[in-house]
Amino acid sequence: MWIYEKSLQHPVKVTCPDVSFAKLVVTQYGGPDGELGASLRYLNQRYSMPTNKAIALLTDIGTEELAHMEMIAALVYKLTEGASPKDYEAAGWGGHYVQHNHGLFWTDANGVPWSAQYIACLGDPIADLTEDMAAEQKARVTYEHLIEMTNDPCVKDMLRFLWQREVVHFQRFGECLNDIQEHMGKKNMWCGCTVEK
Amino acid sequence: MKRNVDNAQVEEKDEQLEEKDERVEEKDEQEEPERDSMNMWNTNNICNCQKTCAKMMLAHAYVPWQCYDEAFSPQEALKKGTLFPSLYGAYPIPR
Repeated sequence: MWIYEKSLQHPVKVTCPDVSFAKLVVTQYGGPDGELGASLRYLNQRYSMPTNKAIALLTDIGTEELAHMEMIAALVYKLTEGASPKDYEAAGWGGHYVQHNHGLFWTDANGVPWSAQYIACLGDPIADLTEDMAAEQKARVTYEHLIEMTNDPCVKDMLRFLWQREVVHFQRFGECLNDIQEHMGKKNMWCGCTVEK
Repeated sequence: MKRNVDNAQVEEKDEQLEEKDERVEEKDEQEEPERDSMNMWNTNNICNCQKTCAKMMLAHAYVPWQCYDEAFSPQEALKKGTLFPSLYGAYPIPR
């Protein structure tokens, strides 16, 4: 159950439309380290977490990633606002126009559609949390690459906000991993098997 | 310790030892709870950052506990993406 807030987590502004950059930044919509994959990964892994605190953390961060996907969607939409088919073609994104017009679709920067292969759930809290930490690092670096690829200060500002959230999430997942490892060590429980001391 | 020393000497030494003990006790009281540089384990549950962590094991990953010390104003935090100055700049900020 979710409560929907009718505002973005952070304002999304663009100085002027830029289809070329829309083609690149769409990877954070539906690419391997994008926000769709992040939200689904965390909202799915929460079921097999051994503590309520870990479940709550995955629910919170997974929900926030949905809000980030919404921000990226708003950004791609604004970057292509008013663009003609020729503009798409000039940006090397003619294929997107043919298939989706001004609609959005979950692809990476090379047009490869989103795949569940980008995410994992081993049902082992240490393996899953370690994957989550790696995912945050990969998303952080992708944002750094994207910030390098645009000159629009408004876009940089918004991407920097999302970049900082990845750093914060890494810290929180790391603290959660500390907790879980302690929890599992106390119970002498590994890989779901409990051994009485 | 030699057994044939006179009583006075023994008493003096005992006094010195006692003084030393007192100093050690004082020092213990003043000292901060024992913790390593990474805040990873601590015997004193004062705040989350000083929380006891299971002893670190090889082939496990750990992140230092964050201490809740300073905070940005809510307006600044919403712009920056974090409430905590300690997390802002933990990685070089992309410009």
